[in-house]
Amino acid sequence: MKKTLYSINNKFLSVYIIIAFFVLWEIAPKIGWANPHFVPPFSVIVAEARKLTFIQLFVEASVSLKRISIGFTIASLLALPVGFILGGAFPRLENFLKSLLKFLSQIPPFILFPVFVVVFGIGEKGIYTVILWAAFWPIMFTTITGVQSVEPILIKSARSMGANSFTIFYKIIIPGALSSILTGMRTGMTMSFMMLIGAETLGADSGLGWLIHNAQSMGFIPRIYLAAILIAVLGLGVNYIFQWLEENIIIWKEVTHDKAI
Amino acid sequence: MLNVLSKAVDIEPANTGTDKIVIKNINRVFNIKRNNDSKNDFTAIKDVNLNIKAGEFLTIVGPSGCGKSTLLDIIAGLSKPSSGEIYIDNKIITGPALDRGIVLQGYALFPWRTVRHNVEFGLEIKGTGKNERREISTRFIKLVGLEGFEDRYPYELSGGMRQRVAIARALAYDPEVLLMDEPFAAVDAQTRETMQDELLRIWEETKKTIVFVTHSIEEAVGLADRVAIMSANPGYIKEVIDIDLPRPRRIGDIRNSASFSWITHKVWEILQNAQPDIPLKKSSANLAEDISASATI
Repeated sequence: MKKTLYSINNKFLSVYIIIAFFVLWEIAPKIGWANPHFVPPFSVIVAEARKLTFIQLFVEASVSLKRISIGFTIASLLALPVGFILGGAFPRLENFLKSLLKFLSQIPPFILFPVFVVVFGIGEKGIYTVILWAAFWPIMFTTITGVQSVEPILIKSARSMGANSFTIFYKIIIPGALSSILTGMRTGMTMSFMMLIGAETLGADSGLGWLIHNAQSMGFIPRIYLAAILIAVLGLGVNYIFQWLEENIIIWKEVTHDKAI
Repeated sequence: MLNVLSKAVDIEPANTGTDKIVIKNINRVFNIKRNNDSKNDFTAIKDVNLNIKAGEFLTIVGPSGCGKSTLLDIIAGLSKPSSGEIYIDNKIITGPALDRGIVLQGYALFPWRTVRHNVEFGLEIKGTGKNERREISTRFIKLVGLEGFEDRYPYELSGGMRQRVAIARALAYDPEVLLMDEPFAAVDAQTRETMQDELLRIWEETKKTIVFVTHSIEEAVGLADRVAIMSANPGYIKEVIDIDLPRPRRIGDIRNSASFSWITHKVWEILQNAQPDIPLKKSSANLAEDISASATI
């Protein structure tokens, strides 16, 4: 009995801290530890959510999710082939381009936003491009790393059994690089969420980022917290999906990493 | 000249066996690009001639760096000789093919495939149907004694078990020649002996031609019909000796026999003579010095 209690306790250990966090959030402004105007109690934020209605929040969240999925999908569709080509087919070209690619990847997408607007016009396309830019680099770099970290002896072994280049690509290179690629996609997704808020403040009239921007300009402080919480929850949820995918696709490795929560 | 040679072959009695693989004047030179020096060619293999008979167990023994793995790669078709020719069944070898199976140093199992799917890899490339693949892989997994482990992934297996999978994988697509590059180097002593006996049993059951590379003299002598002794710098075949130990063998039974000791000692002597540039006496003198130096401390 004591043992089961102990194991249940262990399972919920990480939940306790979150509960404690929200309790502190609720109490701190009320007892004067924080300014209730800038840090409204958690119950005020829940009330704000009710006022805005679930439907509107759902609409804003789904608009943001749609933008992320479009930008992220295009980024993946571009980054994976580029990564495979640079990592596998033309390693010398990769060496040649490496420093330029590293340089480009360091440029935050917002600096390029005016360029995106000029090229793609105002509106959705600019936002997609910001997310594309944010997600493209981690996916491409991890694909290159993944391809290059496939053990040469496995390729040699496949070749000794008469495998041609095409077979080696989809039976050795892809599964060999998959773990690294999925990690890169997860990073790309996290980057997308971080860039989303900024992109939506720059040129949008909907979405969770716009909600924050709008609330900011009108001084609706509880609404800022509400949107921030929603973005965090969404990001965490998507991260979970990727982690689940990784664990269920890469089943040939010993599980060594700790779970997020 | 050629005529005379072919006649000579004709005259030989039939029971010596036909040549499966003929290696003629193979050289392998590696071009090492370092310090922009154009004269940095490294000769890994020099003037190797070797005939491997169908169904025989040939081991190649030599010090590390003598080019034995390079020679095996050339037989496998994974590497091309700089000059010379190599034939299998009188056809010149141009690349890897399913008539030769290779077991590489360090297992080289595909970590994302289960034991069964590792064993089936060559069959997939061959285009064998799914049901037949399953039937064949079941047979070879049984042959190497891994029943019940079909659905395990390589990370769940011990070193010896991984090596068995590698052997089953190389045998599954039914190559006529099995090439093995120090397959038991990474397993512990007990497992190695078990694996050697297993290999002898598999060889007797399947009647494959086996070319086995090792740096262990005991292993080379214990397994082989013939031992090719290589020397280093540049790698060439110093001598090929017949091993007339009784068959079927078990390593444990022959290991303590006088003839086994005598042959291993003979091989050791040939290997020592094959390395004239290593001054034995001087190194032993140094060793003595080292010991005395540490003794004084």
